[in-house]
Amino acid sequence: MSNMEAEVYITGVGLTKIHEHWNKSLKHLAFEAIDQCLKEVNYKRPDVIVVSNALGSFLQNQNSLSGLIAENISLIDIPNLKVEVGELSGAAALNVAYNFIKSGMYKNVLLVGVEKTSDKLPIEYNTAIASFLDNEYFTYNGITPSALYAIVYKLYMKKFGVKQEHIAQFASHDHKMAMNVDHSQYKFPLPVEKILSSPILADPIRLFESYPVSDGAAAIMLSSKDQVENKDYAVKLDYVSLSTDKSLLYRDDFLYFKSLHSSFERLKLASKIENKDIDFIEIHDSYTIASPLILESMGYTERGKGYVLLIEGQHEKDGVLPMNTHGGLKARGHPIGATAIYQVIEATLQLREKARNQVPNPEIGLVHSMSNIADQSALILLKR
Amino acid sequence: MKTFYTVSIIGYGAYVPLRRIKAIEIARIWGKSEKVLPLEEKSVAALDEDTATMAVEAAYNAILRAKIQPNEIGAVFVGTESKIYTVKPTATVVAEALGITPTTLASDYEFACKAGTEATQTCIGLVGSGMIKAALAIGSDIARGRPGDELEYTAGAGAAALILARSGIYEDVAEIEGTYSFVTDTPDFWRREGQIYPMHYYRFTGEPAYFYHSREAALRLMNELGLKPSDFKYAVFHQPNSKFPQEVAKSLGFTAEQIKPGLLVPLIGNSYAASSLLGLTATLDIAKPGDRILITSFGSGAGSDAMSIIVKDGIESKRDLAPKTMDYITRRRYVDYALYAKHRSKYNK
Repeated sequence: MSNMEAEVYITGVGLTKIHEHWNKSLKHLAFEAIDQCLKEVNYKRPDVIVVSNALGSFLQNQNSLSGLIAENISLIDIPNLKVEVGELSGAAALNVAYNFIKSGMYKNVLLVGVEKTSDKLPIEYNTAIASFLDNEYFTYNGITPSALYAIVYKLYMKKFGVKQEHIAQFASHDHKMAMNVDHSQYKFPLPVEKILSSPILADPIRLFESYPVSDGAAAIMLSSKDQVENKDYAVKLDYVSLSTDKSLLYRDDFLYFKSLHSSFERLKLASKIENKDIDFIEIHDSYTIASPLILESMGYTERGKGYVLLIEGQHEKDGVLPMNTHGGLKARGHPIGATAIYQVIEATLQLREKARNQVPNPEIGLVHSMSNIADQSALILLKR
Repeated sequence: MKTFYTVSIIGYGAYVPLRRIKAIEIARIWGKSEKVLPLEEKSVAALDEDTATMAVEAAYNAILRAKIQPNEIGAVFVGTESKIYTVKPTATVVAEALGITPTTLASDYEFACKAGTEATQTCIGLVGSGMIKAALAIGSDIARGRPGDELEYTAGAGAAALILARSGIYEDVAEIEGTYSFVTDTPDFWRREGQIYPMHYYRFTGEPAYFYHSREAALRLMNELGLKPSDFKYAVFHQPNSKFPQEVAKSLGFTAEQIKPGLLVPLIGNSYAASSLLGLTATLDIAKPGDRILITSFGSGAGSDAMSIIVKDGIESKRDLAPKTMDYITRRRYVDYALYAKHRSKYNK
């Protein structure tokens, strides 16, 4: 980082409970999160609004969403834009916001992630989710993201001789963490037996191994260093690293997230950190099988051993690598375009030492996001 | 809502068709997991049964218990969403078959699963104002579920009838203490003109529809009457599946014992407009004078009617005058999916 570049801080955060918000619209949800966030910065006026939303144009038939949200909060004399990169929209929007400040272009950027998926029929929702894949190649032929994960899951178990009960435990972990988190969608324990006896979604994936249908909005104020007023609350957004891979069926190795590996290598080089320096991680575990693949691709365990740290209790809040301390995608929920913003807020709460499942004295937190099966990966590094 | 004159139920009757299909048999056809079935079995109306024949069966039982001459009945209302004719009342067929015609009001009510209690409330109003001496309210339905759809597991058949009159004229079975209706425009389930099977909005049918309306109607009625759940001996809620009525009862503070006698859905399915009324007839079959009963219906579209009744001495001499609800439920013959499809004319629809 050259001296010319500005440092970026998270100065305010706001979020709604993740829920089936039947009676709230996209702009209503966004308003709630923004209002909370602006309150934290004494209603400081942002220079630009960046909105992350993946499915509004599909499910709500709503484009120009950023303009609508800006108008709804009467921020009409500043620019706005919307970012859509599938499930990774939140991280991609954050990357834009981050660089707006880093380049010196703006000093305060309001970033809002919002998604509303529950008020559609299952077929409409699944069609929308499948639109993240190459339509001509996959979706047209009836292949959905869960079908692809099912292939990966079977292959993983076969190649490494791992049992499903090992993998399914990642969902139990998420549920255990979410129990005391106010904004999480599901606050009940989920034993492995219950997961393995739930209906099959796409063989071998069980219903309770998948993320739920979620609505929610989350907002962050990103500011340059000179704009930080409350030093105790500000968390440094140190680095954002994004990378892309070929779509699954063109890869040599189905069981390794190359895009994640390369974005992690770049991040480590740029920030001069090692795996061991990371005090906690929030991962994009859309399906249980994603978790071991993420940990393995980042080099936290050997190939085929991604579940070992979990079994050893190393992902608990006082473990070697505390993970998904607010419930992850499975239990906190997965409001698609808003998910990464929720993750970043959760990491911010950890670094402010205000989290419900507080990690002891954290200095560095990492947020992982991805689209589909690591078709694109994002890593966001936060520092106290 | 209260009436000018006190109104009582003077007769009640139930009817459930003979045939049953197990949910597991339907699951076998569609390859659905046994673990997630919403009930055990549901009633299946035969080829020669329809909304009118079932309504007549239930109403005949109600007349037997009411010990009333049919021509004394001044109104016949049939609540149903499976009318035999799109245009032509079911109520006239029923009234004629029972010897109630010609000097009577007769029409059909439609409000998804709550048309039966809506018909009951109209009857309460008519006799409570003194306009007519006695009135017959019926809920009767052969519910429809698209083959393979979630509704196919629960869509049952049945009918229930209540005869209402001013208190103290006939031998009273139960007195109406008060009623309450709560309605909003909530599109959770519907069937448009010309469609054979209804549409539904999956989870939207839960909290924003069934739970919200059932809860509000029951709470507001209890509030108006100054009652709490423990003041009731029994409670009956609409029964679209086994889970919903138990969940709503629990959330309001009712115990499993209070709803047990009226919880029929695991055995007969959702009989739509007859569902909560059948729960009431089954509860009356075992109730004692002095017992207070809460009945809360739910109809998609959406709304709930809540009603509080107090059982009177007449119950003791009247309950054995006709077959009881459980007599119909325990009388059953199982059919497989092929026979079920024949009886429900699914081969030609």
